[in-house]
Amino acid sequence: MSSFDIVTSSFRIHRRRGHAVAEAVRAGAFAGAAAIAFALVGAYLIMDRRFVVEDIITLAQTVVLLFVLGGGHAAARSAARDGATAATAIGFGALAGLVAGLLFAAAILLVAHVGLRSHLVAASPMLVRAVTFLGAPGSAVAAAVLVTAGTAAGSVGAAAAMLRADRRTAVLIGLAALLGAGLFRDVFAGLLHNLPGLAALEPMVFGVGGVTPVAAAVIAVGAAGLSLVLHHRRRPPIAASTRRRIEGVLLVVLLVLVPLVTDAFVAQVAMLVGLYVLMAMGLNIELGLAGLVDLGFVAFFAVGAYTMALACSSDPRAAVHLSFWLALPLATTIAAVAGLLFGLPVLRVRGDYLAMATLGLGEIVRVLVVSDAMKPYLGGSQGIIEIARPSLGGWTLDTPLQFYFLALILAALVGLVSWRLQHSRIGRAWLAIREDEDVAQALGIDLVAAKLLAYTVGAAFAGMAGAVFAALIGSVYPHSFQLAISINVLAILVIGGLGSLPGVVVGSLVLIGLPELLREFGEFRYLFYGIALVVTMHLKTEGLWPAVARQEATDA
Amino acid sequence: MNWFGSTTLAASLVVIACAPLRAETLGPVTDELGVVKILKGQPILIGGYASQSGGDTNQGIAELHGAELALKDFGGKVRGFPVKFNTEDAQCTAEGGQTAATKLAANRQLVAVVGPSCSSGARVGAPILWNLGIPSIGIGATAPGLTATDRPAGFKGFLRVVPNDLKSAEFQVDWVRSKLGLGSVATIHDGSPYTEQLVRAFEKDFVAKGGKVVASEAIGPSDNDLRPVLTRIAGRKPDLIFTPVFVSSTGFLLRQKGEVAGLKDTPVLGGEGVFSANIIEAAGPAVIGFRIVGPSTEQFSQRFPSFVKAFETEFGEAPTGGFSAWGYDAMLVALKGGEAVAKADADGNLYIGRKALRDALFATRDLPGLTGKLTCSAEGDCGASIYAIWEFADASPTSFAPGTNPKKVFP
Amino acid sequence: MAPRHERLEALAEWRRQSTWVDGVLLAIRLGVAATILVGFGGSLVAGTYSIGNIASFVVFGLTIGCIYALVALGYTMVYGILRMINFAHGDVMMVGSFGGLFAADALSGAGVLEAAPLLSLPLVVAAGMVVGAGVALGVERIAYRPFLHVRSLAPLICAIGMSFVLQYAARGLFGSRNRAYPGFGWMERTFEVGGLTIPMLQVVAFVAAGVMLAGLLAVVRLTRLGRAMRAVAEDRDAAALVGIDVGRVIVATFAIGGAMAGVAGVLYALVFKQITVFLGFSLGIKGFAAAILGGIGNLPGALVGGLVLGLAEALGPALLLEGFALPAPYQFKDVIGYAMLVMVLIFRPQGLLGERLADKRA
Repeated sequence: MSSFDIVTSSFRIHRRRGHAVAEAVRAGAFAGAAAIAFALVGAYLIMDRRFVVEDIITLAQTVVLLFVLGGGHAAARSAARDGATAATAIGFGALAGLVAGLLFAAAILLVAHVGLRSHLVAASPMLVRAVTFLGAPGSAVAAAVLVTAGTAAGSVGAAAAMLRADRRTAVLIGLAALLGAGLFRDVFAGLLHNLPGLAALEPMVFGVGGVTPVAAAVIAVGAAGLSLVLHHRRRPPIAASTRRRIEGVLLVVLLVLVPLVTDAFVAQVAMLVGLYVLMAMGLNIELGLAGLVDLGFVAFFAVGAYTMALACSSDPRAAVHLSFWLALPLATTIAAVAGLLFGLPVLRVRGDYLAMATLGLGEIVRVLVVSDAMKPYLGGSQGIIEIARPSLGGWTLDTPLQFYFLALILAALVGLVSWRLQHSRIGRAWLAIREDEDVAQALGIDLVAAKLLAYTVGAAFAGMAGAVFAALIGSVYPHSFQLAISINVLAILVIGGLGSLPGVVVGSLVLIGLPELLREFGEFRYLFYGIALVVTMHLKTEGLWPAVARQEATDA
Repeated sequence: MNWFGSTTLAASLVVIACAPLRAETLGPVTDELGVVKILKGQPILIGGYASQSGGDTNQGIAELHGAELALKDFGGKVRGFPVKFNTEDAQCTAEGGQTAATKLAANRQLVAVVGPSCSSGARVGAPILWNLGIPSIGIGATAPGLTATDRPAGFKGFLRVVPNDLKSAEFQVDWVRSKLGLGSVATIHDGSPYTEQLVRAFEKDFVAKGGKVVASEAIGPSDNDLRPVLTRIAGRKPDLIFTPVFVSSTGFLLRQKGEVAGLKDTPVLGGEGVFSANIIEAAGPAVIGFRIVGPSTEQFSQRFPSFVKAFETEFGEAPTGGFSAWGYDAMLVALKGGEAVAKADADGNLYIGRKALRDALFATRDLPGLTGKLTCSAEGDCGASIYAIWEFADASPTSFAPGTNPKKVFP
Repeated sequence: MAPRHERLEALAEWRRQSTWVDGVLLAIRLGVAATILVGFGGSLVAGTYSIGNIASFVVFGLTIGCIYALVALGYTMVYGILRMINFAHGDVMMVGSFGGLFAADALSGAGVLEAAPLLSLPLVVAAGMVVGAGVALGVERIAYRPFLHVRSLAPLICAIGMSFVLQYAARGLFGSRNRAYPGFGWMERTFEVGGLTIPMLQVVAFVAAGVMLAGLLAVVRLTRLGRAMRAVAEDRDAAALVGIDVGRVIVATFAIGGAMAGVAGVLYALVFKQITVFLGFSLGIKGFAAAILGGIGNLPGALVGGLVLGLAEALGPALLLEGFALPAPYQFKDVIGYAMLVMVLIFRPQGLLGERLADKRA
């Protein structure tokens, strides 16, 4: 079996829980270590510049606070499970907070008084200053403040754990809403600015860096209250299928409306998400349905983009001069042919060997495109510029929003085709191949035709995405076609839920949208992205929106 | 599915009225492209975009840190208003530049932008910003086309403090041909638009001046064993190797050159991209005798060493990329421009006219920057473009101090 | 699982059905052969390189090949047992390399490195191994252990996530500048064999790679742990049934794989002298390629795969591309490596030496 099939085993590993004191110390140590890592990696200083609540608490402080709150919470829960009273449990939470505070303060003292900078570049006097709230930087007073704050935060976290479940959820939701509003300030500010009648609210709700204190209170309390109200309102139980449908409709409304009423940046991000949806739907055919692992998927994206470039650019290398609307099907077709040519030789390669073979083919394409040898035809490292924008009867598409809707329409189209394919004879053949190639063969499925079709269709979708990409950017450079894109698309599929079309959309939203919104954290963006990948997989192993068949299989 | 299709179609036909730039009067300022009003107590926003992730991370981070230092040296304020520096990651790709520029531009309070690091990003990003009336000051974007006289209208708000490739190539060829009198060179680029363009410009000039390019090679940016390609070059017996590749590759090249028969004594000439302390550590003892091209001015020789010191204290390590000084200068130009055009009203609010700011930036004359006196041309080239060839003389990583190591050898 | 003869029959059936595919593959085979012949012939005619050049290319190729091989060893071990690509492996190597650097810096500060390089080298390597093993254990704990009992690609995605985390956390912690290892006294010297100048450190790296492989083989073949590892690789549930602590075996495998990566990281730094936090990604991919090339799960295969890949990259442009008179042939170094890999997979899908650790169907 290959890694892309299954990892299955009947045994699990359970950690033995120790005494409540040990658990509290452990939770505190974890929280402290997380806070130290956060500081020493340099993220503290970067995020300290951003306010969540204007002039009151910065993003960095919020993150550290959340670590300690979580530690106290975990300690109290653990104690409560052992039958401790609420007061004792809060005491354990305070202990966890104390441990975390001590560790963090010790680390800061170490940074302040021992030169660590030759090895750890972020261990700077600036960091020490940033976490000094009282007294001189590096002094005992400053450290004591940290320890006290830690203990307090631990107790608060523990107290929250003692609340009734519905209230705990409400508190959590209130905090999350506040954090979301502060973190994605620009998106919401743009939203307020553009919604008719709400523009006047913008300066009241948002300051330059974060939410204003009054608005913060309103948002947190409002969200928490809403959660409580919703929880207590009696409502008829909704069938799972209906709920899915409602969620689906909501998703569509979100996709259509949000970019309309926010700013160009959200539209730009939405546009990139749309392109990745196209690509991921292509890979979904190969991997999600037919089980063919493809790590060279970016090659088809590149083929589509370069076809568009060579058909629509004013560059002398351009072979023909077509309009966007003619070049789009052309690019799609050429990418499909490329998929066929890719698929042919690797037909008999299976599992991870296939992953490596396709990765190799993708890398070959990337090097060819950048090479001096191909420069006369493909532009080498200078790429191809001045690609004409698509126009429709004198009306030129040039804003990200217009491109977004173009991508959305194409995605809807491709989604429809995918859906039809999935539920057709060939779709069932693909599923059979994914489950077991040999059995599928025995059932009389034409492996060659089915696999080649999967490669061809998948590549066509990716090529279409590439073509739109080239027209959007107006230029193509070889450096846009890195292995990272193939990996990204793969991650979208798994995070969304393998084989699930709505999963593709959700996965793209999360994995493309999130890093874009975090763009301001520059060098830490991919750190957070990596953490998000790990955390999502831990919380939702089957993906955020698993395919129906799979979910039923796991529920059963 | 039907309603889905129709909804999308309907939605797509909604044409969003994009607020076009128009003349505006706010407070004491009238400007044909609009006015930014900064309330009393609020900060002035300056944006920055550069490569903060991906292969060119070192360059981008050094540039933005340089810009931050400029802001710090400037006192952090313009006309008593604190300046906030919002940075975005542009990677070194066209789409990265596009997204970062769009994100920056989404904040209508943004006054000016410094960056990006790469010409591919500038080509897409600068017009996005300028179409909204936001001028941008390029740091590492050296492609000549960006400030050509026939550049598209979208670049009318784009300046750069770094000289373009043609000028630097011209100077280097002059040194190699006229001063050293060498007749043959080998060139190496790493497939990045910057290095390839520089190499092509150098080759063209060199041939025009009667020289001969005996080998024109390329490597990948993550290649670590360059001995095979150096062996090929050794077979052609060049008098000099010209290569503007970045720190890692240059380090490998210099270290491995000695292991290839016939190249031990062949001199290597590098580009501005490696003008940093980092190259000394990367190349080790092999750095001795390595020459690079860099700024030549008095200011640079005098101020750069203390800049490096300040940089180290602030960010934990000396600049890792060669363009940190230009990051500093880009920010300086932006701050000076803002200072020149900002006007306060009676209530203490500040107003900056967009067109006025753009004009003020283009009107920069003899501004004492870190790389030299900055004077902007009508096309937006502000770089001092006075070059020197510098030679490394010491392999100790802490010895980096332009003037002594590397020391100026020409002119 | 179907009995062997049934599978053979299925294979025969598959062959009968798909003759045109065989035709295509044959055509590819002929095309490749023709390309190689033309390229090779042309290269000989072009005569750019002397025999001495070619000999030194072989040395270069073997050196980098050793490093690929060490990375591949870790890949192959983990894969053999978990059947999961560990995308974070290259970054484990990077962190191991930094562990070695800090040890070397400390030793250099005490003056030991220069004075007694032969004593210091094992210490530096050990530091790399310990750090590598530690980080690999962290990866196991976070990315693999929680998913041992589920059927999903989650570990793969987690490993990708961990790769990002390690890379960018290392960037934040250690800074992004290039770091050089301090000198190792007399080991920095070179010596001459038949006109070839060979740096001593390359020989050290070569010997170290050999020693590591031998040690690893001994562990897998001779010890209780090795037997348990092979059993788990064969069938995890059955191994658990006969009383093998599967969790422990997996942990041990990760630790050993991580230690190998640490060694690779240190040796890489010894040969190439400078490291950055981003070196792991491309070397990880190359190591993965080498593991696949040799036949995954197969320890000697990893060594062979690494060396073959290294040689192909070093010799390929000289022996094949020179004949086509392409501009900048060394830009195609990776193309040659990957093309060879793809060809091997097409015509020998089990890798050069075949899968070994367990004979599962792939």
